[in-house]
Amino acid sequence: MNPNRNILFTSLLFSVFNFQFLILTGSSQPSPSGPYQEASAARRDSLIRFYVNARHVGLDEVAAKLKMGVSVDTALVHLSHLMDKPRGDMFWMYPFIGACLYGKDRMPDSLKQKARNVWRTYTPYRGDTENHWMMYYTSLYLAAQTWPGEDGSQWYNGKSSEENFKEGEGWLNHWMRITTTIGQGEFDSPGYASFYLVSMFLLYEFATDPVMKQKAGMMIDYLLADVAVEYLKGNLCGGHSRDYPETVVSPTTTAVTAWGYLFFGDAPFIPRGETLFAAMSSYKLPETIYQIATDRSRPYAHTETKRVRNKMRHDTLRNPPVYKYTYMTQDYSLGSLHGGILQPIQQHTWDVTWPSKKPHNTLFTIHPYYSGYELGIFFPEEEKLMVDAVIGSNKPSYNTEDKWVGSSPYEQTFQNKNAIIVLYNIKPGTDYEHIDGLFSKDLDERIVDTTGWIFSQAGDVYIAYFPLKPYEWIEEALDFRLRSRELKNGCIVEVSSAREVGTFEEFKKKIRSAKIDHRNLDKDLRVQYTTSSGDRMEFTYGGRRILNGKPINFRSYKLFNGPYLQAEVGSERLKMTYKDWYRALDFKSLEVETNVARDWTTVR
Amino acid sequence: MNNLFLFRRVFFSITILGCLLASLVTTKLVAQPKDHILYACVINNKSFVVGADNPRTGLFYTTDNGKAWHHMGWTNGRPFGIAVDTTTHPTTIYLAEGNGVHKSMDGGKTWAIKTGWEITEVQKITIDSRSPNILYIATPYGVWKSTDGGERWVKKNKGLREVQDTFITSVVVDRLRPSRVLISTENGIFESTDGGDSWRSLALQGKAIRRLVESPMSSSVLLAGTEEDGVFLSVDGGKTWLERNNGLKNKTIYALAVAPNNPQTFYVGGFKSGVYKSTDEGKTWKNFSQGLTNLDVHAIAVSPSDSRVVYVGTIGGGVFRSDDGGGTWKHIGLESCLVWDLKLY
Repeated sequence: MNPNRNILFTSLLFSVFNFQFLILTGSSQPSPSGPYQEASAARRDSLIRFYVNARHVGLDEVAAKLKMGVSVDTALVHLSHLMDKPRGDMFWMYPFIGACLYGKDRMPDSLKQKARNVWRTYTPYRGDTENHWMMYYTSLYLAAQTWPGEDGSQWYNGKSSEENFKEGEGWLNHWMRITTTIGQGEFDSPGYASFYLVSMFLLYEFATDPVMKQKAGMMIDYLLADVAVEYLKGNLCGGHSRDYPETVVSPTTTAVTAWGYLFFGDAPFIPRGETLFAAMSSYKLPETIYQIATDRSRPYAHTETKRVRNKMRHDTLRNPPVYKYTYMTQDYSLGSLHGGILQPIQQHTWDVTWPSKKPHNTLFTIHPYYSGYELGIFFPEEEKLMVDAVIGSNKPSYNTEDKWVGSSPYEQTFQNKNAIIVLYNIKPGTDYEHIDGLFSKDLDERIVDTTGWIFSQAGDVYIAYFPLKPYEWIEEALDFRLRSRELKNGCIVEVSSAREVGTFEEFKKKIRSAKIDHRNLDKDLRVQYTTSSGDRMEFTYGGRRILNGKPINFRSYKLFNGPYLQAEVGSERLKMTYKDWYRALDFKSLEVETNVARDWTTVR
Repeated sequence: MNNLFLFRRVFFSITILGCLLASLVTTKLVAQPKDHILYACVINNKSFVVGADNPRTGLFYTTDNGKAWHHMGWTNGRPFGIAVDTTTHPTTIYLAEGNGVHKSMDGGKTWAIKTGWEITEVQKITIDSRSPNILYIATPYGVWKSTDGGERWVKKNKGLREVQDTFITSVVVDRLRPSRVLISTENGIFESTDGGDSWRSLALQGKAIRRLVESPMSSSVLLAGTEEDGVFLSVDGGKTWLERNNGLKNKTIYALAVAPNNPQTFYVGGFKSGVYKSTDEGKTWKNFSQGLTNLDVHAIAVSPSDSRVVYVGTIGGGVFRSDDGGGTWKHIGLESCLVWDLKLY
């Protein structure tokens, strides 16, 4: 069916701002796909119920009880106690303002006054990362909106309500603009994505300015679509920023998994306060995004451009681009960043991930690099002091030889669909001159073939790993660590599944026939690989990536490009497509265009 | 993991408590230069995590040689530098903070943040001594200037290349020609002759300058400390520079000071260096670290009234004092703290 071109234009005029939003809906609609809305509502209810009935009562639980009108007296007592000694900076600010706003009709005046006073006496720090600022400015914006017209003496930072409101609005608008033009700095983080989402949900629910409300609703769409396109049954797949040692080896245990439960319905239940606020909001997930997240009936390649967070030193660009490539199937995903230092401390450059009930459902390699140089790129303190500071700041694995997260300036990738070449050119004298590969013990098979390939099987997923240099196995509690101590190093990986190739034996047979030429690895770090499906990949470290004779041009990468999402760099516009459905977000005009009638289009 | 986290929280809580107790118990009474207040900017200790239960950070001061340290302002801030306008009564205090410029107009009782979201990670703040309402701030994103005591700020990056030149570590306003301003950057020293409206590269291009200071005796005498190349001296207002590293074993220099009443005497310190002293304008250096139990020196202050009295702020070891021109050092408090800046006013 062709996209419906008979479009009805309707406009709403918001008199306060004299600002026009457009609602565009198709006159004939694609049919709904079953009981999605009902199942979604049930998951929302179960999540809210979890918090309403929770024994521990923090701000999330208070918000749930006040919203639902359950145990209100108890909740108000807890809320009062939680104001006595606020702590946690922005991590306190957003659930606090959320609890106050959800509970405003149930709070007595005295408690409202106490809540108001906390914004005068407590001095929350703004933090130094994008997610910190997101929570901070969202909360400040809503607090200033809630208590308008007060002078600086009534606020912790000495600024008036109006000044705080404008500052919050200014940064939020800046963040939305930069995100929709050159991408997020903390991009695709399986943990921190949660804090952007919860902030947008609070704005969507409580911003009284219809412009901000509209923008917030559109940003929720945008962020969820960004997750959805690389999402596979509770896993946020491929390369990304900001991961932690525990979750990078167990990707179905992240915050995104919790969002997957709530919105996509195919992930385990993980209660997280951020998702609670989403569950309590009036936002309804457009079904287009739901389908993008869950329909893997056809494999697809998807590329993205994100941005490096603010650089302070050692570059000529403040926010260089990050180029991503992700290949999704219903059985597995292979995804990668192009390589190098794109994010401090917590970068995850590439992986194979497959849905599994076993916890360690991923495979990847890493060069365990650390340095004051890396930290100096992103943080203002002196470089020689920072490694110790980072280790002391809840990231004790940063300088360890066996860490599983982090970037390296000596790592580059070239991916085509279900195959990837990863090359390393480690500078002699670097603290750790080895690379490690994670081979989970949750793999059903790990077979070293006489051809040099290492064949692994996880259920119906098959992984072939060709180490380019000698290596050893180190058995650990959860994995077999492949360690290779050569400076010019790397691997070739190809992935497939029973659905695609048949049996494991048939997979092995196909891979054995694939051509590898790595004679020039030591000379000029060049590798050629012809995939089992016949694509010829040629990759020179620091040089060109050539696919079937044609060089890859990263500069041509769009912000999003694939069958589901399309956006040009700088456009402030994202188009989502699913079969005959489409949904387009235009952040310049604040129009939402869709041909799916029951998906929300504008402020309710 | 949780146990480790708990252990570290407890450990550092005890350490900070110890820091305050130690300052009360172990400090010997020594003569404090009269009427001077010693301010210490404590940005964090090694356990600092945004949003966690961190030990108290921010601005500390003592009026009795560290016998008692008092805290003022935010308890969870990250002040990188301090400037005090003593022409007002009470004094006006500016803090260069991670979340902007904090200002107090009542001697530190109440504070306001005077910058918006555009300004962050402020490293240093400099007051034009002739016109105290004119302020410059050094940030990793460039220079900002205020002409109204911090109420409004204008970005002043003309002539600086993005990232390459915009990490500013110090601002020096020429005392004799206030329209002439020097900045130290990750890429050498830049000069403005129009009050910051435009900049041109002046010297030491390619060198990461950690700190630039002007001699209190002569505005034409400048000292620069670098990340890798030790100390440089200029005696002509920054036009030409001489490497001054004879005797320096450590060349990562974070802090420099010229003795106010003895212009030939310099003190410097930096990464694992302890304190070096020169009495011949930097021609030769000798290590003066006896009693200094932490060698990561990040701040040095010399008493304006008695140049034998010297204070050192360290990374993770708090504050030390010498009463004999650096001959011996005694710990005077803030044990385990990262002292980013020290100022005597």
